Amino acid sequence: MRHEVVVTGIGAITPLGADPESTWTGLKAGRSGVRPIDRFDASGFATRFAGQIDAIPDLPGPWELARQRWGAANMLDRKTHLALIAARQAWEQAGGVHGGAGALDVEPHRIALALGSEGGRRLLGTMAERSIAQRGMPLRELLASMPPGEWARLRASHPARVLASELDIRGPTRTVCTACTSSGGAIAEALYLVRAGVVDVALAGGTDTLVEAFMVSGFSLLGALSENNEEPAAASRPFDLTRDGFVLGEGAGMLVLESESHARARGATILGRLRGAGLSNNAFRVTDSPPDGSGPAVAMSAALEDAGLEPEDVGYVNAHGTSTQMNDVSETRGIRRALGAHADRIAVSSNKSMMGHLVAACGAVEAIATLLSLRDSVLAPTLNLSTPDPECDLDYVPQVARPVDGIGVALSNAFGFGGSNATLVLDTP
Amino acid sequence: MFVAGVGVASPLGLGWHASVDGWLRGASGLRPFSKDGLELAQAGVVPDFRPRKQLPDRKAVKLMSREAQLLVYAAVEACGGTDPAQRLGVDPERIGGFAAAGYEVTPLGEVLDMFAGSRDPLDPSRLSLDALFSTGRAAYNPLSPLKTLPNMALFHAALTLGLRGPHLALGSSPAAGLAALAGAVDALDDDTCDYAVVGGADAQVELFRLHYMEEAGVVGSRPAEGAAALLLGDAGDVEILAVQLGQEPPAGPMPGEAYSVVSDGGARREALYRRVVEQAGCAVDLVIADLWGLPQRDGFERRAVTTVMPEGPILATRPRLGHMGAAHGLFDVALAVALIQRGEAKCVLVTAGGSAGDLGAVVLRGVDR
Repeated sequence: MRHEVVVTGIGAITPLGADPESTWTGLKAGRSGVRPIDRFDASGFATRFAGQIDAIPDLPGPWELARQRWGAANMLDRKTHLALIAARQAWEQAGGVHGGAGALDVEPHRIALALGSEGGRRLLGTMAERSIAQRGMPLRELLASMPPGEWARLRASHPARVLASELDIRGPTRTVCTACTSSGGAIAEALYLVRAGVVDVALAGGTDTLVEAFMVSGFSLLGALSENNEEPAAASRPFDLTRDGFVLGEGAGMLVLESESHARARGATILGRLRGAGLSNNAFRVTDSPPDGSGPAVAMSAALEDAGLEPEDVGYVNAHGTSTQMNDVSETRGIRRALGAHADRIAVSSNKSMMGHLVAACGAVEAIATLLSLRDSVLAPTLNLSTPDPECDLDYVPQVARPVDGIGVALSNAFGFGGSNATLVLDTP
Repeated sequence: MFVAGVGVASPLGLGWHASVDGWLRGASGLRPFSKDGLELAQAGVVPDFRPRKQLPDRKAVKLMSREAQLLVYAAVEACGGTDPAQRLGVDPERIGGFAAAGYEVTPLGEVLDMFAGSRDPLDPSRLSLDALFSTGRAAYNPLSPLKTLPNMALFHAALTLGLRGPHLALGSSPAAGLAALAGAVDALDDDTCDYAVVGGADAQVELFRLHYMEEAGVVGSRPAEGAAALLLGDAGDVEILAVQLGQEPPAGPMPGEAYSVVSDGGARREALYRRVVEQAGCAVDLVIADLWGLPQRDGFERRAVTTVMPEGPILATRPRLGHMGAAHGLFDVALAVALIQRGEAKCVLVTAGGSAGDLGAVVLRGVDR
């Protein structure tokens, strides 16, 4: 039996706000969360700004005790902390409580957890620093000088371990590690599990923290980042002729998915429907998108087919829209390949113009923004799109949010290093 | 869902048949290891693996971590060549790629070497990222950090084989291979692809990983490297009857060796195995078990296994192969396929667990002809 899948809880912490509504308010207002980095000294870097979360809010009651417990054991890195914030919001909105399903009314082994995450980056930075400091020291001794538990704490699967433990999730647990596509892929996996009836409920999303010295320097040396230090808020300019690279960000986004029958039986508030998902690989190059948009098009077409929909059903695409020369042209061509002539009748916009690139979290956070867009019939703008690129020839909702008379079905795209692509299909009930 | 091809690179041999033959004649892949200052009494290294000669694109080898090289080898073997779409007569977009993803650590030395030119000019004992942008920049190869991304092994397999369908790299250490298998089975069930390549690779015979295995208290299982890959489709002589994943509760948020300790006495492990065998609906006559050589963990595992197979052989591959990390679960599945094909078993349960409490279990059965 194929179950319809609905969303009953959302949670997010982003450079624009510490929950989904404040993030959405910022997106609608065309406010930028990109600002000069002040968490570490970036003054010598070619790029000195990012989509930075300035303050992580306190958690209430037992959630805060959980945070303190993991923190006291030195097992709460920043990405896990952000995941815990977003997961609590989504879980409680859906009816869950700390330590159990609560009003979600489901056995623990009938709950899945699918999380997009990446591991080890900070470890690399710490090791680099120590390798310099301890020059001449054998690597074994260098490793022995590392803080205990560092490897375990920084593993990609660590946030899932913490969430499974705190929420008492006993069903399938998957950590998806496909770079910028990680959380889009995780949500797709959760969709398949709920739809097939393997579980009744799934917590799915992603978390990432790239505003770190090692990552900012590394991506900068890769030549991928904007260097518009004079105007950080104007640096991320997807689809604009003058775009010069993406902007790193950080955040987490989580969704509670349920079978529609389960949600309706317990009287849950349905926030939206996840109609389908499509995944693909470019099999092209490590960092480059195919110029013809073929890989992204495969994901979009597969997602529509999975949802049983036609291109003409689509009203809006929440684009991956990174603000790199290559991605934005590839995505534009991919949309045209997938939607054909209908591409000229839809709107497309990029949340990254305001939040920066949340990498393993972007698919989840942007899916949440897409759901809120559907709810309010408002399309968030592509900020900083002032000089159209002739090669990017779709309607990108430049600069200002656009109220619309219903959207219909929306696609949310995520594409990543290593050639992976993920597209989600969302609408409202 | 059927196994249509298998590929393996293991300490027992290069190639699936070499590995299985080695297993059946009772060979051990463990031997003393000494290289680059790393001295081990026992480690499992893939013998005679020469990536530049044995992989299809020798130029691409330098862009790959050791893990990626091993996975590409196994995936090409599983697919019977580098163009599975042509061989199978399907569109490349209908072949998925699913892999267990580790943090690919073998390029770490290469990454660390790049920092040699990035010392603080005022305090040479400190790393200066400013210097990295000036004097150190020449030594920086931006492709080196990319090699460490967890999805890179799968990317190289996709590039080599032209896999353009659904694509997922799943990370959860030794159980990740079964998580990848579950993802592939879901995708095939959901008709999002016609074939799926499932793989896992790891390279643990190096200082970095060894240090953390020691810290996690799992050094008793001996470090090893290897890869295993399966081609899944709608025909074959071994059927995958059921795959299930689960989660064990950790003892607490403790670093170090307590990380892999669970607090439920193996109850969830037992429940998972019951569910997967019930779903499979066949009488298990062999279990290839998640036995690490750790007393508490192995005790839970043996008890859980005997609830679904009170009598019968329980195999453990780590004593003769070492601990292949993200590759291990799928190696055990590849071995199960071979044992079924050779008439050694009819219905096999393979189990795998990760140190983060993640669990996987799969039941396979031979097809009567």
